[in-house]
Amino acid sequence: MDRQVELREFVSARGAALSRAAFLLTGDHQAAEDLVQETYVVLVRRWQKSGSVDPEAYVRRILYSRFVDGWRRRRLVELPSASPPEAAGVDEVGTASDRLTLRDALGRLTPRQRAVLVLRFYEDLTEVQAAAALGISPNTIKSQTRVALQRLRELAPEVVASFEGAES
Amino acid sequence: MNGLHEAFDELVADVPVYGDLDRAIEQAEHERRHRYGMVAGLAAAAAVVAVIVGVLVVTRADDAAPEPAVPSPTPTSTQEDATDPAQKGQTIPRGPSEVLAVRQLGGHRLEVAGEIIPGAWELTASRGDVWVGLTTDGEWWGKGTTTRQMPNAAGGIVISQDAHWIVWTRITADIPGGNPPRVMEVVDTATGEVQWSRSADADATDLGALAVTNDGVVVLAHCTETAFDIGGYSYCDDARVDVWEPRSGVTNTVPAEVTVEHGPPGSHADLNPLVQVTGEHNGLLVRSTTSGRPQYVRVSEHADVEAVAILPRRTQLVTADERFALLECPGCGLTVLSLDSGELRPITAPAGLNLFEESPEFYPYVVERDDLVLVLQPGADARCSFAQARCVRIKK
Repeated sequence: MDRQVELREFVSARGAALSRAAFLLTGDHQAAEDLVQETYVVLVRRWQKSGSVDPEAYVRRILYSRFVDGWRRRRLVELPSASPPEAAGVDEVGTASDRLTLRDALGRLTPRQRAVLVLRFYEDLTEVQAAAALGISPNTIKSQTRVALQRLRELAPEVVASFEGAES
Repeated sequence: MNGLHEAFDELVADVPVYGDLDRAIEQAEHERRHRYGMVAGLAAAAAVVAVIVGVLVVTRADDAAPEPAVPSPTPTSTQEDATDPAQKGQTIPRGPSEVLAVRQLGGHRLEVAGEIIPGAWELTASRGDVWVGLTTDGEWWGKGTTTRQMPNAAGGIVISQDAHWIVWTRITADIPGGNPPRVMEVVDTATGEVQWSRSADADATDLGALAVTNDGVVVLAHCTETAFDIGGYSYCDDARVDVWEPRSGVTNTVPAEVTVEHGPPGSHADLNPLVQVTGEHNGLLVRSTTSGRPQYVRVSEHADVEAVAILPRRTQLVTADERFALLECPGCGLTVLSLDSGELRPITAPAGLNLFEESPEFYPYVVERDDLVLVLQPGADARCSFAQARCVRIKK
């Protein structure tokens, strides 16, 4: 199969998931779009050179490491807050409120902590897979996960309580 | 944590599909054309470059002069003639490397010297026949096919070049919600016994040991400023790089900066020691600033830090015999620098092996022995002789 066709098929299949991960990382639509676009450019370069790349692992590595490194360079702005919808039922207000609180709390984590949480609890990767995606040791994943969850508990106790309540 | 997954799902419910692949292809193509244009320009300047290629670029450590210009060598066939006649005709071994005796195979299998270790594994570190891996019931380390449970490790786990020593930091008591005490241990891999230990409470938590020499001397990140996050957990806000000689307890400092990136207030800082293990078993490439020229130093068995040479900024590694360095720069590929003569030569790769891959996310080089360096690439590992400035594929 033509390599560019393969690339298009891969992006077509994975583009939405990459976009969602990018939004969780950056918390901002424009920054997420920039991150995905930058990731595609690096992916295309690699794709043109070698047929041996595992696109799934490679694109994840690009996206997450660019996010963490890019934040160091550019200091992405804090997550913007939004107002809850005005005309919403009781349940909807509660959901929107939790969502905003979680967004705010995520925005107060370090980029690496945010990346660890997204990899572990959104992408459902193992510690080793998450470590590979970020280029750090599994031990660091463990400690950063622990610290990030603890911070979420401090910053958004009601939201975290609802997760943990759902677990029990 | 299914609840967290569901909350994440809600957050991204309205996220559109970002990215424009056509624009990315166009941009990559534009960059590729630009890069080839630069290579062509370099080739045209071959005659000029050949005259000045012998410029000595290595200075002794006491030379604080600005970095001399390093001419880009030209990738021409005449480079074969520049090879030391004594090296001509020599062959580069194509067999598997003993340095990488432990291999991760598909299906989470782990192979040590041709034998499969029972269970499903994720290999996280190895040197020679000593390895560290994760399995479903925790973290283990092994020597050959002998496996041992890893204690509750925190921070880096390092293995000496001769695989005689493994060093880790472990938590000695589980204190829920607190800051548990930690100890650094130097373990003799032949016996599995802890040979020396010290309190690691003053070390940078996530980093700990950075390297261990064949003499058992440990390079570590020592925390100089402790802070507490919003949850009350202690973390390291600044650090320096130390050397610890465990027999006598002598400690010295390495001239390497630790860069610190701060996140929002109350969050952990990211520490990045500008230290790279390379060259001899006790060799380090260190930088005092991120943009500065790296210094190659040796750590003695008494924990003395000996400065050997200041190298060009784009140095990637030093060979085990300390005779060559690898230089890399965007658009000009890989170049061998002779530390004896200052001569520069481009590396010749076998057909189909792209050593010029731009992949800043990965560091594919493993210093093997003498002048040999392994280049790890998916499905196509290579061994490069820096004395011969050429590489061969490694047979599987």
